Amino acid sequence: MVVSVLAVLLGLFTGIANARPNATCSGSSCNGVDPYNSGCTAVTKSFTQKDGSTGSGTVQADLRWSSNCVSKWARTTNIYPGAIRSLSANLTDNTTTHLSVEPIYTSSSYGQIWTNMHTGVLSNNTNRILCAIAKQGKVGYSYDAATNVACY
Amino acid sequence: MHNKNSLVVKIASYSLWFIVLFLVASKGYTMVSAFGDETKLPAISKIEKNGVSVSVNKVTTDTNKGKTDIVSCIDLPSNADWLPYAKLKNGTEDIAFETTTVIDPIGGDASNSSYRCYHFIFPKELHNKKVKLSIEKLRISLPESLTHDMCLEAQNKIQVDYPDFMFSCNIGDHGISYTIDNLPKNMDEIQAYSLINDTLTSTLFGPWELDITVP
Repeated sequence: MVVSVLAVLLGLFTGIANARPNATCSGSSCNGVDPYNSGCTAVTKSFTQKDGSTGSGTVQADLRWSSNCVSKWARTTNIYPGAIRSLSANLTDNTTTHLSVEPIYTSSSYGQIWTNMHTGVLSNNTNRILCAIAKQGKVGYSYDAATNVACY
Repeated sequence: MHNKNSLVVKIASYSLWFIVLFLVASKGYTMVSAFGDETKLPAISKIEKNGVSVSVNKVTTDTNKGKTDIVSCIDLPSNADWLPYAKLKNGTEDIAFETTTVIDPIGGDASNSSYRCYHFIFPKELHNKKVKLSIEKLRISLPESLTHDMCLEAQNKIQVDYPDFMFSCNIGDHGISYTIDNLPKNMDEIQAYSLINDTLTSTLFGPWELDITVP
């Protein structure tokens, strides 16, 4: 009896310790889904920064990866705020022309924006490296910072 | 008996290897390890400070692209999404990183371990140079799953030093933004946003500096 109770408690503890948020999608079913509230745990696999040339501050592009959703997305963060800013986040393939894989998101507020997710499997079922590109500028002006590509 | 066909095959094989090696050399790569798990490379130099150890494990230059690539491994405080911010110190010149990429172990995922290796790519090609790799800080990245409770907790922390400081987070629909509801005297908006960013994330300040020689 004691052993059974201990076994149940141990199982509960292990389950809690290993619990992951429930993902709402995985793989290609995540294509086009907003990662926010998706239950997709994420890490940054590659990132790059750029300073604005006319005072918009520093912008960072992250290529985010979720192992439980098997998906990637691009995230743009205004790291060091300068003057009022506009942000852009772009998830692209890793061709020289960097074609957008998901819609580009923009914002005119300080903070962080991100694209929809994509599994990276494009035509011909090939698993592609995807890249994040971030842009930043003063609101009302053209972007004065565009990062290099952060790819994974 | 001498086999003419096998001799022809041998000559062709050797010729092929010569061509491959010639092409690789002519691309200007200084290759230390073309294959293999880069997370298993031995340390060239190492430093430990504030409970974090940092090593340099490989240094290469790409003549064609004008870049210097440094593989560095860090024993991080936890499995969280720590981002290292690095620069190269070349005398009086500081070279900021261009791109930092996590290296997954072969067959594995780097995020499963607190020991992680990175490619730090710098936008300058250096040769025969003694420089310093400096990891300026380690910062946990802000999650997309930020909540209003986390913002309130950050506000409470900031209010210890700035009791008048008030801000709110606007969360959702592909982004997070902040509204400064009350700006303390002698603080401008830029300082306020920096404070919010620093408080919402966790940062360990270095620097962790290592002397390296770029071949």
